[in-house]
Amino acid sequence: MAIQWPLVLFSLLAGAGGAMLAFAGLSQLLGGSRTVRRRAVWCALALFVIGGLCSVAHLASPLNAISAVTNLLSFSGISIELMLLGASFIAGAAYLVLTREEGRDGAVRVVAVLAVIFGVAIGFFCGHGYVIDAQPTWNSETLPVAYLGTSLALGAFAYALVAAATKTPAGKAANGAATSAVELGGKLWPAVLVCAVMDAVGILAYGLFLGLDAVAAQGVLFWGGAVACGVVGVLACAIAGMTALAAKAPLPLAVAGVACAAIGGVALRMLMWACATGYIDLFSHGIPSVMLHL
Amino acid sequence: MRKGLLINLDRCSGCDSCIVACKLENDLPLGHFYNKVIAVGPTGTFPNVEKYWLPSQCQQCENPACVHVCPTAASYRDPETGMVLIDKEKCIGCQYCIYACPYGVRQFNEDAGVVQKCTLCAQITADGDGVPACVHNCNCGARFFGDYDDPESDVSRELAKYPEEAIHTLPDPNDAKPLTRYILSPKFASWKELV
Amino acid sequence: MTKGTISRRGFMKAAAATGAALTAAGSIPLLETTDQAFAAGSVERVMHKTACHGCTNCCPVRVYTEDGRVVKIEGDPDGPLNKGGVCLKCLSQIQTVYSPRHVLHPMKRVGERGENRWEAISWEEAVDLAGEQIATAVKKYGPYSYWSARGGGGAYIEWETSGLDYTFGGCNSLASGACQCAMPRDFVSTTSVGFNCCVDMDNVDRWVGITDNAELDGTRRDDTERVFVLWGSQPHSSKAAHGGHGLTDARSNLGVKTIVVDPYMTAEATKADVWLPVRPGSDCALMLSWIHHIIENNLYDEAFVKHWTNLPFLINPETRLAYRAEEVWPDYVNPAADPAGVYDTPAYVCFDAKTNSVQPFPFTAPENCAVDPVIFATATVNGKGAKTAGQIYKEEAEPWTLEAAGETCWLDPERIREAVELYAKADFGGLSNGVFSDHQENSSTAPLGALAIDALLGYVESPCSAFQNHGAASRTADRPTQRLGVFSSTFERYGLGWTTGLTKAENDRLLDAIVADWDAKGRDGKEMQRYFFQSRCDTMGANEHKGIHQWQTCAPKELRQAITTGEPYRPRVMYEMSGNKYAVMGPSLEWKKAYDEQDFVIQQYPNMTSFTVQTVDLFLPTTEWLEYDSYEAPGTHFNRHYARCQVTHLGETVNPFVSPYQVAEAAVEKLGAENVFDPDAYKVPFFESLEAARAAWAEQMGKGSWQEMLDDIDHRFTEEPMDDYMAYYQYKEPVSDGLPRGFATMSRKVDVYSEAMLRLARTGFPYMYPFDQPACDDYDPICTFKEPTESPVEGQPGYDPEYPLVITTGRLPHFHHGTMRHAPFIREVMPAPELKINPETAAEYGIEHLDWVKITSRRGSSNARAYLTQGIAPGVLITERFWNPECFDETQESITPGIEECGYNIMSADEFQNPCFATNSYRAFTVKIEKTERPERIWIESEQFQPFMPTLSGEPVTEEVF
Ligand SMILES: Nc1nc2c(c(=O)[nH]1)N[C@H]1C(S)=C(S)[C@@H](COP(=O)(O)OP(=O)(O)OC[C@H]3O[C@@H](n4cnc5c(=O)[nH]c(N)nc54)[C@H](O)[C@@H]3O)O[C@H]1N2
Ligand SMILES: Nc1nc2c(c(=O)[nH]1)N[C@H]1C(S)=C(S)[C@@H](COP(=O)(O)OP(=O)(O)OC[C@H]3O[C@@H](n4cnc5c(=O)[nH]c(N)nc54)[C@H](O)[C@@H]3O)O[C@H]1N2
Ligand code: SF4
Ligand code: SF4
Ligand code: SF4
Ligand code: SF4
Ligand code: SF4
Ligand SMILES: [Mo]
Repeated sequence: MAIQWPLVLFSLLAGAGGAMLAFAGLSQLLGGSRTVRRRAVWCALALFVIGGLCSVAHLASPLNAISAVTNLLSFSGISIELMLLGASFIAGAAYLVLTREEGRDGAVRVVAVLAVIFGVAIGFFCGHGYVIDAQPTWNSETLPVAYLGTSLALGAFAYALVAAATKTPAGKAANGAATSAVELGGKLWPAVLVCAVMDAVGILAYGLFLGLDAVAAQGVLFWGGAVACGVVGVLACAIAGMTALAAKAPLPLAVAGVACAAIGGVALRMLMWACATGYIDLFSHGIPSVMLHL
Repeated sequence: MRKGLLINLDRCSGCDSCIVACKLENDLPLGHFYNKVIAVGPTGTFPNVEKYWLPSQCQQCENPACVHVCPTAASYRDPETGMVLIDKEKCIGCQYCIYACPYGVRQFNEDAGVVQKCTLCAQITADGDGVPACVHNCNCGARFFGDYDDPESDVSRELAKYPEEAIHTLPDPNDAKPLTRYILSPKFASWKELV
Repeated sequence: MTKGTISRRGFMKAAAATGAALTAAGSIPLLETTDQAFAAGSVERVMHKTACHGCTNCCPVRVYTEDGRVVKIEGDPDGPLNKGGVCLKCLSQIQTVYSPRHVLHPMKRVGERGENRWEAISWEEAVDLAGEQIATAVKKYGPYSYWSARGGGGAYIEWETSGLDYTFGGCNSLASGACQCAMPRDFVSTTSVGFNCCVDMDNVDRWVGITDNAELDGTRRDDTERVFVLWGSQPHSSKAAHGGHGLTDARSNLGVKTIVVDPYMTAEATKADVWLPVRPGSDCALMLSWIHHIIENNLYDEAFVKHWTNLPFLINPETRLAYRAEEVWPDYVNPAADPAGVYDTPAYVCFDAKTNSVQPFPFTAPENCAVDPVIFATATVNGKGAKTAGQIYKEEAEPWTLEAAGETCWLDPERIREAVELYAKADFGGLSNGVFSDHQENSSTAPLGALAIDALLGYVESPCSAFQNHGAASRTADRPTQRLGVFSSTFERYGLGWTTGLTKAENDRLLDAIVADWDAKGRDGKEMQRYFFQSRCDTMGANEHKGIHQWQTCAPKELRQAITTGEPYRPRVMYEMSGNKYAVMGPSLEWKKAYDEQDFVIQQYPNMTSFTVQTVDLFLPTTEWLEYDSYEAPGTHFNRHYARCQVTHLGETVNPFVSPYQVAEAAVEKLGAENVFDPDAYKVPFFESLEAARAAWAEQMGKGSWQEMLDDIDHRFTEEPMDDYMAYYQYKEPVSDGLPRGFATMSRKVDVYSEAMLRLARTGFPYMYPFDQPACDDYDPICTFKEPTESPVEGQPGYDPEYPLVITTGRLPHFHHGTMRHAPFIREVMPAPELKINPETAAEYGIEHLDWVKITSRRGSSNARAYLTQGIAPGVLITERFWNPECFDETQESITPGIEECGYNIMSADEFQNPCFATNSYRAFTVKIEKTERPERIWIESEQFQPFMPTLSGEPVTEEVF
């Protein structure tokens, strides 16, 4: 099937935004910098908006998005994605409103928990809509896991990037490394590693599900994009984050991680479209329409 | 009521006329189709071969995946006639139904921004007595239209002439319940599952 | 939906009135738009009934108009064969009638040939120019400088071209069909069975639609076993909604079994009980093996063969003709002789089993027969050893065991056995001999073989038989007679030709009367008779290939060579009444050299083709079938013959039966009636105006007027009563002389051994009677096998390792010959010719599915897309004729006439022909192949065909020009 770029970008951007939101929520719960969190949430909201615009570009006309919204209760794959997108956006926005000033801890905690839940869920459900019997190469729960993993990895590195780029008000002199060091109660890089592992697991699981023949037919996408960047690159960056490198060069590390995760996430999604065969794709046959030598 | 098509492959000669009949009736531009005729085979090795044609269009599923995934209810199954149709006014062109249809018989119409598929010629058949253009004009009288629930309908009467082993549906991945039946007698060719 | 007869009638009246006014004023209207009914019309949908002319078969259709514009075509469910079905060619007429390629005005070439530059001119000017060119050539170079060309099956104009030929005294009319279509089968059936059943032999409609063991609703009445043989015949393509539909009904509703003899796995083969994928060109060997097997295993219908065929007749070894009783017993009195001396029923000679001696064998009812004739025997007659015709056939078939045929035909002998036994043991059978044999050297011998098989099995005038007489006309009161060349009325017009079944005295009397008629008209009748005879002898190739007289055509190769060399004379002005000779006649590039020698070429056709672009000087636009009235086409639907009824009319298109009249009239005027051979000849098949044509067709239909016929919208056809239509075994019915009717042949029996072939070669009999045309070598009187001149079999003289593959053609449902290549919805599903090739062979050449392939014969190359299939033998190729009108589309950067890219007939041959019928070799010649690239300018993607989408639907509905 033709690669649907708007959907590739939407699912990755919205998923990554969700992951950033979740990281912000975790930071809120486990401890970290309010500035980083607020900046990350702003980024997440931006990603939701850009992702949303991308998905609208998939529709025949932008106005059609309204019909999609007015039919939310159809509980189709799209409506679940839309609902989660809306819920995540609201959670993020609420978080920003509630944390404009100090205090309101109870409410902020609730919002933080919701942010974690919605933020993770959106990554998963952006992929889950594709798990349908009609597309045998999509019809596996490894697909949403891979969507989730790639979203988490991109969001995690992006969060690390925000952290690394933020100078904490506490110690004006402190560089990004210091800021990162306190994020998630000091567990930022382990959390990134967890996400990277999920990303690797997701990509490899979906690759295994597709089978060697299918992925071999898309060699560059799979081996180059998904495996070399999405798995090896992402894991390398995350593992490097567990070393002294995290303190020495958090910014370049985060940038490298974002780049690898982004490439991996895009490659995985391209792979999904490129391998789509349809269950019985009767109209895919050109002229003459013929099924030969069955 | 379960209205749909029945195609007797014992009769079909693969002449492609139903494609053109459909396009003219439904005013489809070049490159757009509601139906196609696919040659299945020849399978085997010369001269021990068999072949048949599979005229293909929406299978009028009773549990249609295209309807389930549609975010706007543009794709719907008419509760009265059982016909699966697309309300073009409501369609937002998200194409999820294309991905979800197990048979790949929907097409995106770029110009109109909506998804299209066989309508069972609703413009002719809606009032209850017309038959679709592809049925009316079928070169060999291989296509039938009617209510599968009505034993007196054209489809039921044609089905009744054939034994179980000659009656087929496309394989059903997950209870989509395609309504369209195909007749193919084993003496002409064995039915291929195509998956 | 309302039947809009009222507004339709209003239109016709308005049209008639305007037409009359204009004629009175003496002017030719240029694009006169009129029509109150249409102009003032609401958007009411009006239903019309007419018959499709998308191919030979004339399926009845319903056409809907809104404001005079055609908006929908659908099959007429009342059609007894198609039952509402129509094929994509028919449906696509809505695109071709409004196609940007449908020419609406006469066009004069302004650029060089090939440039496709034209100027629109008035009909007045066009007719004048055409007349002038013909007149000038005839004056300067004599009558033979004018020649005509026509189409084949499904063309509007066939034998009618002779009307113009004999106006000026010309004698060459080139047919795309004829030698290559049905004429050989027509000759065989007409001379051997006494009626033209070539139509049945390839149009299986008559015997599959509603056979007698079924009620009209398709319910079976008995459980007899019925078997059809489709021998190189594929009704699903060539009779799509017609015989194709009928065959489906026969198979599905009636359980009729089928045997398919075809190199390719056609739609018929996919459903066959036995499929024999015969090697192209080897059919006669297979036929002889069937004949051999039937004789060896006593599977023949002994009673029928003995009494109703000429196989028991003893043959004079010197003359190769059957002994007449009088030759052996000079005083013999033939009991079947007509005392009035009008009808002729000869007595022959047989070997009688009762007396073990040679005995006279007069024509009697079998139960009154005095002798018991032995079919296979050798006896001494007049002191010489003589064989029966049956014995001669038996010996010819002797070497063709199933094994031998298997080897020669590339078949499994067991499968041949299965097929022949299934057929021979059926209760009823029929063999459809398709056009395959009319396209190769065996065009005379294969139909004789098919005839022999059915005659041996008694499948003649029996239910299912292809040799079927239908209707009241064949149930004669007297001994049936037959005048040969029913498509050649000129023989009769000038007093030439023998009527089979009449005595010599009676024949002479009839011919003398014709001569006397001319004398009475102030012409020298004898002189006209002699001129006509001489001109027939001077027709190109007429001496070697006397079978061409059957449809009054000429031998293609000889004509081509005469034009290029000028020997014996050069025809110079051509009036082409068909579409694209480059696409339908080979070898096309050799032909181009001939056409290039033409002084002036006129073509009438609805749209421009490669031929127009490449060769034509003056183009006369004719009607598409939705603009057309007629009753002329041969295609019938079971017992019905439908009329074509004009639904709309665009621009200045003219009915193709009217334009030749106008042209001839102009030429005669310029030459002066006294200077032409027969100044009225063109008035016979052609018409001055559409009104005149309608009047004639209405008369043929037994109606007071065309309008009267139209008014009864549900009966725009004539119908043969069912009792007459389904009258089997007519040969057994007694007639006025007290004998069974028999057949309209020389012997009054089925002449399985074709004396007609021998007589034809020796004197041109029966056409040339009372004159003798100089003799040529005898034509084979029975089926014989000859390896094709170009052979794919190693060790054969015609084998050449450079051209190792054998190629052949067949039809597609999508196109009718050269038509419809400009129909966008057809082209998008069949954009390019497909070369069907076995994967094994393809692999040898590194060719994959849908690769482009260059195919090359000794005459030239063409291209097609590979279609890999196990439905064809390794080493065998099949593809279809093509041409590409997109090659000269405005959107192209440079143009070609669109024939060299995908022109199968560039490769086909005329240097080896059937001796009798001058049949070219379009099938079973050899080629080599190589992988190539898509030729420039060829469109294959749907969207590319946009320039062919209809653009004329806004054109006003116009009046007739004439
Ligand atoms: N290689 C190869 N060559 C072949 C054959 C083959 O099988 N293989 N087949 C051969 C045979 S059997 C034949 S009969 C010839 C056929 O050769 P042609 O008869 O020359 O082929 P057509 O293209 O059908 O040309 C006849 C034309 O009459 C025109 N016509 C039909 N209806 C109308 C009408 O209503 N109005 C007007 N004005 N015109 C109309 C059609 O447009 C049609 O194109 O080709 C022969 N050539
Ligand atoms: N759609 C369509 N219909 C038509 C026409 C058309 O052009 N298009 N033309 C009309 C005319 S004029 C005619 S004459 C009829 C002809 O009608 P058919 O006789 O049905 O003509 P074809 O399909 O050309 O040839 C019949 C079969 O011969 C096979 N064949 C080729 N070579 C050989 C061989 O050497 N031996 C044997 N046994 N078979 C061989 C081909 O595979 C093909 O299936 O169709 C008429 N109807
Ligand atoms: S029109 Fe009828 S016979 Fe022809 S391909 Fe379609 S279903 Fe088959
Ligand atoms: S075949 Fe496809 S389009 Fe038709 S009802 Fe079933 S799922 Fe929907
Ligand atoms: S493309 Fe249209 S019909 Fe299909 S799922 Fe989307 S809204 Fe529904
Ligand atoms: S029923 Fe109508 S819309 Fe459907 S394939 Fe047939 S002609 Fe087309
Ligand atoms: S079979 Fe021939 S006559 Fe009949 S609908 Fe098709 S093109 Fe027309
Ligand atoms: Mo023909």
